[in-house]
Amino acid sequence: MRQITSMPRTALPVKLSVRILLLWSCLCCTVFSDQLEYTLYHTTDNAEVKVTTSAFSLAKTIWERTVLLLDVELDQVSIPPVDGVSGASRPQRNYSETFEKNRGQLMFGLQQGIGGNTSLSATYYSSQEVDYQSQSGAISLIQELFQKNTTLSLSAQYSSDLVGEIREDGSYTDYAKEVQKASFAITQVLSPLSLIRIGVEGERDLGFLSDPYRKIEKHIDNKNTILVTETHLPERWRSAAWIEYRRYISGLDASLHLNYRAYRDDWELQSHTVSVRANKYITSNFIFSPLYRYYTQNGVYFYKENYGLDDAYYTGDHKLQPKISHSIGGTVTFFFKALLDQHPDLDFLENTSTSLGYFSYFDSKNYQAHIWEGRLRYTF
Amino acid sequence: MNSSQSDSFEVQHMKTNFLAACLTIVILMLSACASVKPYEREKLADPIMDPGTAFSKQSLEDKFYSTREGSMGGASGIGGGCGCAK
Repeated sequence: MRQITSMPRTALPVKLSVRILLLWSCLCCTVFSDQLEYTLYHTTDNAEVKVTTSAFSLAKTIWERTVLLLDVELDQVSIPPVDGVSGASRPQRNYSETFEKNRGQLMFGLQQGIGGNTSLSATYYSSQEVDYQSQSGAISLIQELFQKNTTLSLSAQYSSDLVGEIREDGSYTDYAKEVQKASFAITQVLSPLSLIRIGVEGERDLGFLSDPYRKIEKHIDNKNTILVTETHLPERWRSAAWIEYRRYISGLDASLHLNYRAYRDDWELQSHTVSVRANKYITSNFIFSPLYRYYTQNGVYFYKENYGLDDAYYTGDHKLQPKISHSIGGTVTFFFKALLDQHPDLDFLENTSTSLGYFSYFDSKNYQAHIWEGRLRYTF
Repeated sequence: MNSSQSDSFEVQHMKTNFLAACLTIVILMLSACASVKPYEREKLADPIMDPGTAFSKQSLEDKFYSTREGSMGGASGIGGGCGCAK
């Protein structure tokens, strides 16, 4: 494991970060529509942690079948004061004060169509915050077959991260982490009203996979404990498989999307995710989309309520503990072309839409979050 | 065969079965589907059939889940870092 000691980075006063987003969800199509989008995403939870994300995305055809993908994203994170002994992921330094940080993210990429049924894309990604840096590269190949009834997607990604720790005395240390990931997905048109998508993903994480801020109490004997930093294994193999079914329901002017995902890794964490999303035209330019998602996981094999001196690995990470969670909410989407009959001078808004969504997330660990999303999209 | 070897074998066996099941589904899917002509795909191209219509920033939704849950996969975006309370 590589450890790099350096001077603390200053918090980025980044008001605009740049990120090129590979609009992965669009990659099932070989050809993009040119599109400009702004999204505001806000999360608050019952631990008083607040995260606000502003994201700007652009997909623009720059030459025949060459598409430029650009995304700018800024996260603003606020973490409240904590006790001296805490499982919270934040520096203990000035722990009686709210910890605030920004994260800037830049992603850009190019997608190139080759022939009528193939496209290749490559993206570069970089993000930085006061105690975390990440760089990533990804390539993907999309191949359409059988009169475009079948789409195959193959992608690979490599990430190199520096996980930082700001110590109580203000000194700073970086720990190296790598992520190697590959995925394969197939989309199949089943009928004029339905399609199915199936995918598998594999990931290998290497290096520093713990949280430098998270502290664990280890029992020396029945009465005494010592405080140690969380320690995870230095390698993790992860795999997932998922299936999605989408159905258009003609009589109702609605659609139904069903998803299932299975996950397992060599830390013996297993999970199952089921989600149901419906989309219903209330009017021809107004869509209501309710969602429900259910998630369950067991814990990793080294998770315990209490650790002793003999334990080599120990975690305080709630993500590695058994839990069940639910998400429920909905989104409304409005197309501005509804205004054109009365305001023909607004014809430049013909391909513009806006949406507003709210979701509530709660789990069996008594965690609850409220998530808001607003979005404005212009297609040209 | 000791206990850890037995466990390892069992995990490997389950992985093999899982991959075989996925491949079988894919092969059945490819061979059983009738070809749908482009002019028959009007409904498939409707905005309500695109998950991005209602929740465009799937990557943001996935990022939130990744801060609360130990699994990954099925995500629509790539990226790293955190920008969160982990």
